[in-house]
Amino acid sequence: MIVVNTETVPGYRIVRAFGLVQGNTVRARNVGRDFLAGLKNIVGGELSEYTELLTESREQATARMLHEARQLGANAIVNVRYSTSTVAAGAAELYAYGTAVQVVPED
Amino acid sequence: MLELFGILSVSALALVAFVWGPQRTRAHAASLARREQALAGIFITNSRRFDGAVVHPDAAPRLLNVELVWGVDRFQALVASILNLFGGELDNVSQVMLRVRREAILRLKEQAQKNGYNALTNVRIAPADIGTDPQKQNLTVAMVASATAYHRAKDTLR
Repeated sequence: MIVVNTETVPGYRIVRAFGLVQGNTVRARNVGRDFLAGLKNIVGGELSEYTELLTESREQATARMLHEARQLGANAIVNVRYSTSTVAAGAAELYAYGTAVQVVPED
Repeated sequence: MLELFGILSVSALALVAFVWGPQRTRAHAASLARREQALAGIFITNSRRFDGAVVHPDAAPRLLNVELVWGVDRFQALVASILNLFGGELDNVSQVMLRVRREAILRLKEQAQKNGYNALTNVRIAPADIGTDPQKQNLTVAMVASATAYHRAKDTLR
């Protein structure tokens, strides 16, 4: 599956568009991660516990979007975008969306 | 008594950050400069075009992502909260945000290089919402970055 955040794929021609595909996940931080991040935050720098949480969320939302695209028979997703939103203190949603298409190599 | 304890603990944390924070900042700035120089050959743009793209039989263009959550040290957070009373630019926080964005771009470039690509297009960097509790005094910066990696012809490279 070709996944890009552009509208075209060089070397390929879009022959069919299946429409919007999407995936999301809402994740909450846990006490352990909060504690470690709180300690690191004293001196600043990367809070890897939260970075990992965001990465896991993005991977899961993307996997759900890819699953939807495969079910439609697509072999590529173009114009992929991500957005996040807080749904409660300590919990946030990560949403992935794009356009499922069928591409064929250009002659 | 409780208020006194609160003031003392905030001061102690700010003192620890005052001592260790600048060292970590300098180390990060040096790391950024070194890696930026090493990865200067990776072409990067936020346009939607694939300038000079070559179709590589083994590797189609690919979406790359980076997530980053960064903490502003307690001393800088205290300075920012004081500056906030008077308004104007929070220069120390601006500097942290710039460094976090530079780090995000570098990680995109590192991923591109690791996967055999030499160009990135349509770079997008946006703040992320991670459910931060506004009641807490921690200042954190969260970013998500994405770009499409592709192969660019060598004769079009700088």
